[in-house]
Amino acid sequence: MNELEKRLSAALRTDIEIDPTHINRTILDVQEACAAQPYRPRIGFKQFMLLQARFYGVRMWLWQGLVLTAMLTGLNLVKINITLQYLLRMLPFLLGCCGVAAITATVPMLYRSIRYQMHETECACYFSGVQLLWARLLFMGIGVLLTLIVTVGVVIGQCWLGTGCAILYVCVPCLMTACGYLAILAHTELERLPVLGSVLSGSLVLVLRVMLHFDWYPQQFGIGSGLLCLALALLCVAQVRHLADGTYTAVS
Amino acid sequence: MELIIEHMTKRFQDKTAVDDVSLQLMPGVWGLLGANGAGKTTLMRMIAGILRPTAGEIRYDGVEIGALGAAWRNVFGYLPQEFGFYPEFTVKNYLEYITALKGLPKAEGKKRIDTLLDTLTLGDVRDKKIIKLSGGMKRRVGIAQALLNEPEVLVLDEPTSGLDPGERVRFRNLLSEFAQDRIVLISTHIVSDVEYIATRNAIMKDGKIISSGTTEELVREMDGKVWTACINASDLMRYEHEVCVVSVRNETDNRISIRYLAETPLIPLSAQAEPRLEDLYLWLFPQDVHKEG
Repeated sequence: MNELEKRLSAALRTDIEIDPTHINRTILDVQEACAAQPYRPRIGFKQFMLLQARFYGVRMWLWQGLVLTAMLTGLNLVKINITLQYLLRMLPFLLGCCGVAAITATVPMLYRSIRYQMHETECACYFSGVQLLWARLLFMGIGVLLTLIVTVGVVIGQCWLGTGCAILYVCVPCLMTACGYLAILAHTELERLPVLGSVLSGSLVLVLRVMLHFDWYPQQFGIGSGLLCLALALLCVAQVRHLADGTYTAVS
Repeated sequence: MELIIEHMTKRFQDKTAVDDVSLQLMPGVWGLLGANGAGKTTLMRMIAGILRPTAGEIRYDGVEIGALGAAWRNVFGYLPQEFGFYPEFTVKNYLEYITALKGLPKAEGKKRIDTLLDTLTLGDVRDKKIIKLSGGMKRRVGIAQALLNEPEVLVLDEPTSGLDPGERVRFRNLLSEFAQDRIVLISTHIVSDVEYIATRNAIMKDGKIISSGTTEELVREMDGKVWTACINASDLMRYEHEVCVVSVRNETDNRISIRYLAETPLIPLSAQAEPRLEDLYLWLFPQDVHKEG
């Protein structure tokens, strides 16, 4: 503690008679000092999100639309070229891959900041890198949700599977992938996302393939499946909250 | 208005990029000079709040910038050394995008964009895609984004890289005007960028501040160390190995006039010369002479 701090500390512990004139002068001085600061009105987060929808959201959704079209085209091609019996056997794996792909496909969009050297400029702005990421994750989430709804809808519409199974085979891998990617974003630099994400997605696809080989896919959406989905969703939320303390804004 | 940088240190796995750097910045232009790899960019990133320091803190008007958070970024403008643009952006789109990131209301943002496009002579290219612009124009667009929120503290990392001499002069004049009641910190290895406009300079080497002061104080360190001499052209290569040659000028009769740095005159008939800031820089970073040679 320096001399001033020691004296201040001692003075604060001393009982003195407070002079109201001094209090009033202090209040006036503080008010004047605050008034002297230039007022800088800033937009709120909601308006920021609307602006980001123009610059980023539309582009993300168009990209996700493209990915969805590719996925559905792929499913259709598979349907044409194999027997129905084999298709029904393969379907849990294919839908799982669609769930993984729905998240993995957003990586190029999230990585754009690094690829085009905008990350440093963005992170130094009023709306921090984390807030920008939250906005992007929200747009991404809307697109992913629509992707999953359409995919599940197509499967149910084609009468390939029941609703519960369709949701199970698509959503669980999707939520697992989302958890993994959010953990990567929360705990490492954005630069590492493509490599670590590729390893994660590849591993999940491998696991899904192994499950197909050993026929380990559950045949209905039970309470266990529901609890698993809930747990994964909560983990995703926890990772999103952890992003604020994470290394997203860090540059290497 | 005061920015205090105290005992800032940044260690990476293989090196210490910034080593116990302390600076006290008041309104005016501050030059941060140093060769490539001196730690300037690392220090600037820590000031920008985008790189976490290993140790130390930065306080703006007495409050640590981490604690200020958005309030710090509200008054702060930053131009990174390497920056890019999304390929679909025109100049106007890009500035509108950054305006949104800086939280400026729409009307205010539009006014600021129009003013900056005018000031930085980018009005003619406002609707042109940035990737199609020259390097100098891209740099001006980068400077424009740093100025959008009328920052009280402006940090520019190698801002004149890629600018031609005319643009450099215009940029210096713009900064001088801007820095009257603001803190402007410029990092550069081009001494002339700051020599005429910087209130004070700090020289960085191997992560440490090795010298700081006004331009005059720093230049005085080179008193008695700067010499000029006239030599035969055939002797140039020999002397370049023996002394730190700053400049070479051809004279008549196969003679060359050189300006060199040394503690004592090492070439016969040398005359003492008036030192410049560039001489101090080359004295401290002699490897830069050989690079440019």
